[in-house]
Amino acid sequence: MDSGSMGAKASDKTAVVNSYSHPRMEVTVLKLPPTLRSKLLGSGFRTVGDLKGISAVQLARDAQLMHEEALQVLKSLPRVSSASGSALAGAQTAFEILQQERAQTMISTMCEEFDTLLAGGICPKAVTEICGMPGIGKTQLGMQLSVSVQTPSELSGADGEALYIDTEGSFMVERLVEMVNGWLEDVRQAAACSKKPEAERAASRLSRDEALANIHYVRVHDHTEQIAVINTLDNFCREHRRVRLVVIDSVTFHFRQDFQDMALRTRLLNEMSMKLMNVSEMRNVAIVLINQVTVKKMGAVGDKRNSAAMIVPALGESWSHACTNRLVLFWMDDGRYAHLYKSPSLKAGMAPFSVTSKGIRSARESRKRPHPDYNE
Amino acid sequence: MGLDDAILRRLTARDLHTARDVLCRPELDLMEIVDLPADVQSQTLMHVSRAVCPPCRTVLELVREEDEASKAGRPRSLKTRLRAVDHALLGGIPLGAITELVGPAGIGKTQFCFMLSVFAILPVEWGGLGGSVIYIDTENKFSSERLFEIAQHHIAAASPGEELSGSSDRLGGMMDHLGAKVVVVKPTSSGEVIERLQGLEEAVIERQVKLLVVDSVASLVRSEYGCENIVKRQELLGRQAAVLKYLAETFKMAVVVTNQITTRFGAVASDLRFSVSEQSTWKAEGFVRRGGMDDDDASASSKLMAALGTKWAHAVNIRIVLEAFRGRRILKIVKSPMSAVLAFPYSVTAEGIVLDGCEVFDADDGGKMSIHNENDDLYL
Repeated sequence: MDSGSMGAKASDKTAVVNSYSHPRMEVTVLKLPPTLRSKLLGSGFRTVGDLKGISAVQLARDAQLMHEEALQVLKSLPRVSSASGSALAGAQTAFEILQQERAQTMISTMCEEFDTLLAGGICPKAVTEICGMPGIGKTQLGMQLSVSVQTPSELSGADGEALYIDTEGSFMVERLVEMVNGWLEDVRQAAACSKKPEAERAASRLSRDEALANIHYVRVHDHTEQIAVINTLDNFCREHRRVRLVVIDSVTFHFRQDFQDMALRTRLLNEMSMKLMNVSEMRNVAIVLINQVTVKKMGAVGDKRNSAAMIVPALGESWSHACTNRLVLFWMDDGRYAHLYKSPSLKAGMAPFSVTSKGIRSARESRKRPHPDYNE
Repeated sequence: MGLDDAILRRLTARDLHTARDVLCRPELDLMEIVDLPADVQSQTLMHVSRAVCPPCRTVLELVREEDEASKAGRPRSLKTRLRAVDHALLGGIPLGAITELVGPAGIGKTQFCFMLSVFAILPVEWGGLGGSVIYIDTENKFSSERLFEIAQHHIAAASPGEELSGSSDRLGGMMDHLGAKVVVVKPTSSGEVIERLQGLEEAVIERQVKLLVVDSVASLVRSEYGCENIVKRQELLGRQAAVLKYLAETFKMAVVVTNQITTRFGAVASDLRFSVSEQSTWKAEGFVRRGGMDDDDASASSKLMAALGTKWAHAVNIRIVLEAFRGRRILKIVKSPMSAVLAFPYSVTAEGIVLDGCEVFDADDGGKMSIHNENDDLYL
């Protein structure tokens, strides 16, 4: 069987059937201001089907609208129904998607086991969530990724820029400089080992200042600002086309206080995750969300001895649908481990890692931090 | 906000005054309320978002800024004068972040705070920050006597060229100056703490406050809220953390809070391990420690940990644990964005806290987060 027919078959399954194309859809669900809507209803336009094939001038006359308003109404009709009429417009075959996925470059974590777990690194075009106990190294991982996203493409890196959205104030510039230096060292070494002249040339072009300039940083002080930043994220990515990674550290903090209204919180979070997914898809950007964990008590409250405690990511059940991949960082046997908890394509597994002065590195390398010299 | 007049009038007429009101509504709702065409509305929304959006800078700019600041003599961190600790924290207690001191009673948390207060007041050329200090004392432990004692030692040390006796006038003047720069607030309820913190902006600008100490963040909260009110308590702590972060960030000052320790029994959060069960729910199994297995632990299945739980632990940027272990006092950096887990033995002397020699231990204990205390038996 050739690949073409395979793809065609698969497309039946993968294509999202757009329910909006239904001609009997009520006018009321269209994205229209109430005044316009009531005028439409008043003049007998009840369903989308009624509006089909009508010209703007005709509509303006029938519904006693301004010409501009009529045009607006027609523009607000779902595109699929007005265009070619095919429900599958814009759908891709699985084969095409596969090829696109193969062409993508992953963002390395700089830790071998970690990368194996993730089949190469953090995936672009996806939302990845990292959660774990305080002090486990979530921020470190976020910073590491924003450095290693710049690895040149000659060394099979993503060769991009990063945007770091900091809500907690844990972003330490001094530490980042340390990481960039460690990364430069490693990249040069890797280039020298690869024996490829173009790789060496690419590595020698790198400089500390340039690497630092490639990391954009936004400090967010409350949830309104956070929403605003995410609203403008698409614009930002359009202006900075080389951005391949967006880290939000943490997505949680501002949403854990000042919210009496849980329904509002859930809605805002959902809206945010939808926007993030869109941006990651459209702009080919990896999005890394850092989440906190919370202790959930099971059993009777107050009965400390018998109640079991669970550690769960914060923000609740519905939020866990917001990310495509979820990574959990935790302590085990005196070491740091990462656990891939949720992923559509990779199998669950664990990998040890360690935090060194250079950044995130493999746990097999010396775990001891070299003792600093105090007798200078 | 630079919006179109007509749109602005519509928004205010519908009771949407701040960006928050606008951005917290779903787009369709907004259209319903404001009655504008879709494209105009999305433009408006974009406009508002952009206006609210904080500026984006590259890290290179940040580094340059810091370099310039340090050249201009503006320090970017509060030195603890404990060389090894300063080294590990890349300069000292960073400004603009929350640093937490955790430890059992009488271990030296308050002493540490006093010492830091002195350093924050000392003029820049003496290695201090040259600002003033707001000290929020919830446990009624502030002792000006002790503060002056510590100050005396450090002022004497900082000006080695002058004979102590000869410059007693100067010293006296310095002490008065110092005394005037520490403001002690003694709130009596956790609600008051928050209120005070929220109203602090003016005072901070007026007095050029460089250090805010909350000693301790736990005592009032823990006495006011029991197990039944845990949700309320967490809410309050979250708000407190947000205010503290805001203050620290806007005024570029150091925030130091102290925290108590608590005893955790058996399965609760002490030795939590993640495991994934068949139903793909998250389970954390606590491994109960049996008596005799660990000779450091005097009690069988209990453990000392920092109080206030995980949420608060997420909120602090740096956590320093002070503990007693095998007859020595140990200062341990447990959580920090720039340092490994390191331990330093120290002792409390007349001049505050000093390190014993230059020993450093790698103190990675695998995230057990337990805190040692020699006098366990007394408390249990």
